[in-house]
Amino acid sequence: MTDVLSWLAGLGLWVLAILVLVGAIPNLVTVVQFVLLALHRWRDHLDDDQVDLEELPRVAVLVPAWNEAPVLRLSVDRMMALDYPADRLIVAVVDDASTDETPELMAAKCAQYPGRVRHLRREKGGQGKAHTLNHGLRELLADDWAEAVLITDADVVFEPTAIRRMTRHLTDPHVGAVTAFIKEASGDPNWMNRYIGYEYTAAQAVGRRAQNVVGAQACLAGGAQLHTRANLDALGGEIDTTTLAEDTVTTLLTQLDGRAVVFDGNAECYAEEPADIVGLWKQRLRWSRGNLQVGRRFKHVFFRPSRLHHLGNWWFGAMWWSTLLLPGFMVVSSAALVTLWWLDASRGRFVFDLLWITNALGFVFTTVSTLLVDRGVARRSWRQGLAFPGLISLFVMLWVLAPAPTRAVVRGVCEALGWGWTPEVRHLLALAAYLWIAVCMLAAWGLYRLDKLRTLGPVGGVLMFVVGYGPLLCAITFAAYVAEARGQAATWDKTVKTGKVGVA
Amino acid sequence: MTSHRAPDDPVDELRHDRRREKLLLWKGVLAAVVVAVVIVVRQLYLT
Repeated sequence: MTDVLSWLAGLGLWVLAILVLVGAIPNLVTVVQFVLLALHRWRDHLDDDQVDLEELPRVAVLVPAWNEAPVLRLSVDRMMALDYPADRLIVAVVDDASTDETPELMAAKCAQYPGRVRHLRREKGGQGKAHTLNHGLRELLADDWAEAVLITDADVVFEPTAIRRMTRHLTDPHVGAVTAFIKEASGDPNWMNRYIGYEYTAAQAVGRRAQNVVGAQACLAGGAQLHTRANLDALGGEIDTTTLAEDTVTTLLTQLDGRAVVFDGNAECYAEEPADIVGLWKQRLRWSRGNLQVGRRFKHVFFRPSRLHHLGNWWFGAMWWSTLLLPGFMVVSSAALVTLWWLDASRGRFVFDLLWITNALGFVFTTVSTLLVDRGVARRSWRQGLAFPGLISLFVMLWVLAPAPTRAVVRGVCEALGWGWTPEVRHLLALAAYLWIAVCMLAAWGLYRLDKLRTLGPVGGVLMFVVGYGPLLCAITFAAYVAEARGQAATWDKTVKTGKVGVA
Repeated sequence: MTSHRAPDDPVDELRHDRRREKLLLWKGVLAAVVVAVVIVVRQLYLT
């Protein structure tokens, strides 16, 4: 009997150790993503027959807008100046009952570019982006002029060759939609803009290339999605209005029907993104809730290989769910570590080291890769790339990567503070490190509350450096779990744009 | 904010983009080398 109990206790400790290492899964999936990036040259979907200028499709650019006159002023002019045949490109702005000077501005733009710019006014608006887009799609698909429709946002500014680059892929009849690389490009970027710029490089320039390699895209960027007319017709000529992630639903439905979605990382465009924690929280809460809704709706698709599409690919499922469940992984890992701290401290230290060595090496690999992928973003956001996990987590990484010197420093600090370097002090420090894996999200939520209470400004940048941008994103995903569990109203909370995109 | 500027000619543009994609392999190798150096330095000097 004693033997059985002893065996069960040993098994329980190993189960706890495995639960700790579950915390490394999202990091390992990300590392695989960066390995796939290196293989992209063989799956870049660039062919010699894509360069015939006579074959360029007629593209209608669809821009939903609500009170965005300052950004439209710049973006419409930029679209008219794109390196694309003038007779093959029109811009349709769907004005969602704007109350600013959008109608007057668009009247002026229609007069300035006769036949090439359209103003589609909704007298009753406020239903959300998908409804606005559907109004525009109905108008654009009513005649047979448009061979492809580019759905974008009012603040997005395209590189002159971006649309031409995107249309290259439409020579393949299997392609239903193409997306581009959207860069954060605020003219005078603050610390938050720089974090987002770095994140977008990792998520798009790297992540979406990796998704090209496995042949399954998670999401057409909302601000740069080029659809063939055939694809839109197959989707019923309208965008899904039932979730907060209409672009993700469109992406998955396109692929489920057997049409490919391609990312072209060389087709670049620029957008303005939130400049503070509250703005980011609002935007990402909407995205995370949308992804949870999409995850529920398409749960039958993941991890189920199909001949028609690649969404059932194991890596795609792992990528999707490890991102969405990351806060859960962190809480489980932290709770298991704290339990081991109480039951079997030496085993706890061993798996903690294993977890953080994996995380630290993964961080080095992904950070160096991201900074190498885009030199412009690297110059602009390298500090934010290095500070992405936050100072405290960086210190933990240093602890496991350079144990001898780091422990000497910590010991010196503890002794200088009069705490000494006793087993009890070391035990408590270990507990703090174990708890931080989950508590970092609470700290990030605290930053959000502080910023909401009183705008933190540059102080927010310093606090973010300590807590980390990664933990903030995890905290937002956790908040999305709570909002969905509570069944909170899914309102369309629009990110305010001011027209500060600065492009050289 | 600046970005890479490709030639206006679509053929050169395609060549330029393919070259960029090919470079990604070597960038990945370079990042892996950095990780290897970190591991070696850790084992030799920092433990």
